[in-house]
Amino acid sequence: MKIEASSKLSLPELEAALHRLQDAGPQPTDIWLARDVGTKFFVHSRLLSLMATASRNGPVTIVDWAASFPENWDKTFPTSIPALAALSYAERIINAKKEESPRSAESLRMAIERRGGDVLDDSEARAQAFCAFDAAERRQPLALASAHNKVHFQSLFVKRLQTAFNKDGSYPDLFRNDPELQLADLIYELWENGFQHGSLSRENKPIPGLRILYVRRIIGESKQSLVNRAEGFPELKQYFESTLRDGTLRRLYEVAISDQGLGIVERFLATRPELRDDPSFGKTPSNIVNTIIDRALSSKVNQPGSGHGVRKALETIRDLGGFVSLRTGPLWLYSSPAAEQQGGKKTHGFTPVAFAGDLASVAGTHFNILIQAP
Amino acid sequence: MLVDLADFESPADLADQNYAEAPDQLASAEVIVVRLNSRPPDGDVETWAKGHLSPLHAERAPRASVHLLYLRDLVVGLTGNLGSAPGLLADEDQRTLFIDWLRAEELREFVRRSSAMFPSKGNIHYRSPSKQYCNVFLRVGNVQMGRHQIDVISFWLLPYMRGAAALLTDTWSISSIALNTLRLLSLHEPSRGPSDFDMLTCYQDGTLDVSSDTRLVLRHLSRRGQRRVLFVVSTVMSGASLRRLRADIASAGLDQSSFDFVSIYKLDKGCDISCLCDLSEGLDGETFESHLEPRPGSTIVEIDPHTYFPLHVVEQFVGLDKADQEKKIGINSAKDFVDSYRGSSSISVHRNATDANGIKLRHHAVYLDVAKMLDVERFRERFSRCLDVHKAVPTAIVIPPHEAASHMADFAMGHFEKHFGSKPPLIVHGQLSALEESWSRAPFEAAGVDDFILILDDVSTTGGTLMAYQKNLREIYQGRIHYLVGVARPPTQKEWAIRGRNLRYRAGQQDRQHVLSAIETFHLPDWQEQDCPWCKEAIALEHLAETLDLPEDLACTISERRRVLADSKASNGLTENALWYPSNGAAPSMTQNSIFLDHERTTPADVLASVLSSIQHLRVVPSGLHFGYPHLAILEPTDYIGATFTDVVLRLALMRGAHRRELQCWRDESEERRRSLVNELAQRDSSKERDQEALLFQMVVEIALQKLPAPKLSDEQWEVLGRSQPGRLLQLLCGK
Repeated sequence: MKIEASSKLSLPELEAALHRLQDAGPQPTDIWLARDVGTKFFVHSRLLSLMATASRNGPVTIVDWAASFPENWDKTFPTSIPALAALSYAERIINAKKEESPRSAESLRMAIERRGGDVLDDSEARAQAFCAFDAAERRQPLALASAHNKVHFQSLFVKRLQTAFNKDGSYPDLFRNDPELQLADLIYELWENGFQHGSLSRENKPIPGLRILYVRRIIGESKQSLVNRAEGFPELKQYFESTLRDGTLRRLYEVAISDQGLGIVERFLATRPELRDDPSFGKTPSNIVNTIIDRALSSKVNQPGSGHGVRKALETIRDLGGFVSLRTGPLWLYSSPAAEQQGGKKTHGFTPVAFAGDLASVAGTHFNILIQAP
Repeated sequence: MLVDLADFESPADLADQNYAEAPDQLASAEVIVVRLNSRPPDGDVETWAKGHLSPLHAERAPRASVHLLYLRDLVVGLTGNLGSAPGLLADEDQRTLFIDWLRAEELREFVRRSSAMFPSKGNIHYRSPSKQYCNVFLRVGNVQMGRHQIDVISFWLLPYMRGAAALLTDTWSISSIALNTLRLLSLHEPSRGPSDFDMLTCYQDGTLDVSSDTRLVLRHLSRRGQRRVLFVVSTVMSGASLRRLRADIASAGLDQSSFDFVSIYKLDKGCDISCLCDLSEGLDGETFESHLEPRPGSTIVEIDPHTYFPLHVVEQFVGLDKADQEKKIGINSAKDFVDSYRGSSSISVHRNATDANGIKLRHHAVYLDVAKMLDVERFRERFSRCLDVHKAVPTAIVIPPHEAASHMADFAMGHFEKHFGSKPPLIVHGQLSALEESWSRAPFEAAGVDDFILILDDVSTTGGTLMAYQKNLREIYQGRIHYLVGVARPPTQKEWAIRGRNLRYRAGQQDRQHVLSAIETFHLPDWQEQDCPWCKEAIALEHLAETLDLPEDLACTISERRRVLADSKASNGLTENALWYPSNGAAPSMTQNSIFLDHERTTPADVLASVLSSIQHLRVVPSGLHFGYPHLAILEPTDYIGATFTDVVLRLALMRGAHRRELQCWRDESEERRRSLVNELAQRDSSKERDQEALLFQMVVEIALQKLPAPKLSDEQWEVLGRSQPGRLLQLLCGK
């Protein structure tokens, strides 16, 4: 099966490709990957889930769309989410002439791990990714591995980001004010949640693959430009329309947190089978997600007080007026200040995205968050 | 559980923080007191607190009764229970008594956790500023370890400031407390004018020059008797200094009634003065009594009357000498345990404990895997003996949801089936909380006083799991409980005895108390991430990777070790690779005739467990390690960087298992002696000396963590050292 990821790729196209993958069943997949897959929001993350899902169907070959590998290919290639996903899930990486990549995916993975698992992406806006290539063991990027609580994580994470983003000295105040520190806190909750729950199978064995934490800073873009980048995602367009005044936005953070696990609902029911038939769950999978989050239900067995981290993180995003897209299993949900006021009634939690086609079941859980810094 | 709510955080944040730091404590707390350090809003405090503290109660500690401790009009108040769990402090009289108890207990804890109490160690006698001799001296200034302690003491002092316009202390060493009290006073009573403050310069020994200075301060502070002064005394013993002060007040022509007195700590019943904490009965078996004459032959440590510091320190070295009977007990006990399980993969280090779903519960510096121990004949025999005491099948077997506990349950089920032809029902639950519906209460409620249940837990470290069972079963079960633990690993025998006393207690059944038994007992420090030597190694290596300009091969070596440390934590821990050694070499190993354990089938993790347990024993025995100003008893350097033990692995284990403060000397000449031993060790020939490179690797880590002094070598010596990879790393670390 062949899937083309061009620079004009949109989310609906990717969802359609995921659906084709699901229908096709077990078989090899060739993914033609453009050097630049464009600027539309969340496309990078969805490509990750596409590759992870394809790898469960059979061997994946990534075809670099260009005819040849440039000399510094191994330096420039592994700096974006799709490329990191390619290193994790592709059996082969070749160019359009079917020549093998100059360095093996394994050697590139090792080089990234040795650097601490943090990757700087300068391709568009400056972005920082932390990645963990899970294998027989669940891994933490070395850059964040010594963090054993929220405060320690916050200090390591903020230090890394300040180093990455402030090289030009343009934003010395980065991650100094409360909303940005709150952002670091909520990232910890979601990232830790992915490590604890999104990396284990039904039998509680590690699932090989990529977990990623990605932060991109977007500066000085006009409202129109942001609306254009939300193409294919009407709810996100609506978010920008309703929350941005005309003119230029000072600063926006895009955060992506992805794992390769079973998905929220499946993992939860695997760990808490006694709740499978609980009538209070509601009938639809999106209700189950909201119930798990709202009732702070946890996979942690008999540990009172657990299960509140993700809910609080999502509450923080809401308090900050942020937007969340959640793709997990067969669900694509979103949460936005605009969605909270429906019919005069304030609602919390996730709402299904009004997607025209059928949604395939994807590997893992993928949070995409947008937060406007003051 | 007492937690402080600072003015910059929300109750929900505080609850999250407490949950992240001490989930077990939060889960098992019966009463949670939240202290509001800032001024409460106007209006009914209880109504405000109910609205604001509910997240804490409802989410993170569903079983505790929650109360707010606050100051209103400089009077300490405690609200009723703000949560829905049954409250323990229902009436106001109870709460008043509780406030007094809480204040005293909190201040006692400050003494325990600080270096304020100069201990009775060896044959030391302190000569206090009153010129009396005592076994134990309390320097209150030392309890001020941080902002928290200062804020807390100020909180308890504020009620004494009602009506006072100035504050006087007996020594500069508690002046931060006084200044902070005035700062808080202005927050609680913003309409008040500024309050004044001063301090006495020296102990009131009645000499003419001291009295003259004191009278001057008294006149100035009281504006010649025009305003009230609160005099805060750090400690009061016989009250002699207070009597002298009253005499000075009189001779300064001031009215005694213009002065109020309060002591932070009271050390003797004889003096009638208000105090925040009464230690006249002593603390943890130590009493503060003083004598006019020193004990014959004692070493006298003089306490300076201006600073209340001892004028010299006593530094001693503690060797792991098996000839000493006290030390022998700990070493032999560790050897017996580790020898029985070495090579069985039961012992690893730097590993997270997880629940049945693979979710992290906590981190262990030393991890004991009871599932693996069950493969060892000794364990099974002992387990059977523990079960043999029962002449019937229990009403139920209860286990927490861990894999190892489940293996223990299988064994016990097999035992009962073999001897009685039937198996008891098995209940898998971590708490048996009445709030959860995932387990059936019926068998417990139906049981009579003569019935019994068996609670199995693989490892008991803090006792939190067993205590939670006890607490929850108390409400619904009147039968007997046998708590049977695979391995009891308390830090001290005393702690295990206290745990036993609490768990065995059965109201109204003095002759048929509950039973607590352990198949194995192994004393170990309870180290989580903050104390785990391998977590510290990871932080040290992270620091080296970020700060040193490392060539590619060294960067790679450090990165590989960091990866091992990061991965092992969330999987099976460290065994063969518990110590850092060259990737092309073998793990450091033992030779025969060690006092710590036998050498065959021994992994570095086995060695470390034995040595850590032996060091832990040294922390408890009277002749052991001690870190309490002005007396320091630290590990004998030749034991870990000298020639006492020939096996490098033992030296490495000793370095790894001791705290920095148990290795570092206070006196310069002692520290130079350590440095010269490090110099010698660093220069050993890697090609001839066994495990030399592993030793150098660990020296890098321990020097980075300041547990060892950096070597001082000549350029030629550095050049030779730099021929090995760890030697080059050491060079870079030392700036060579």
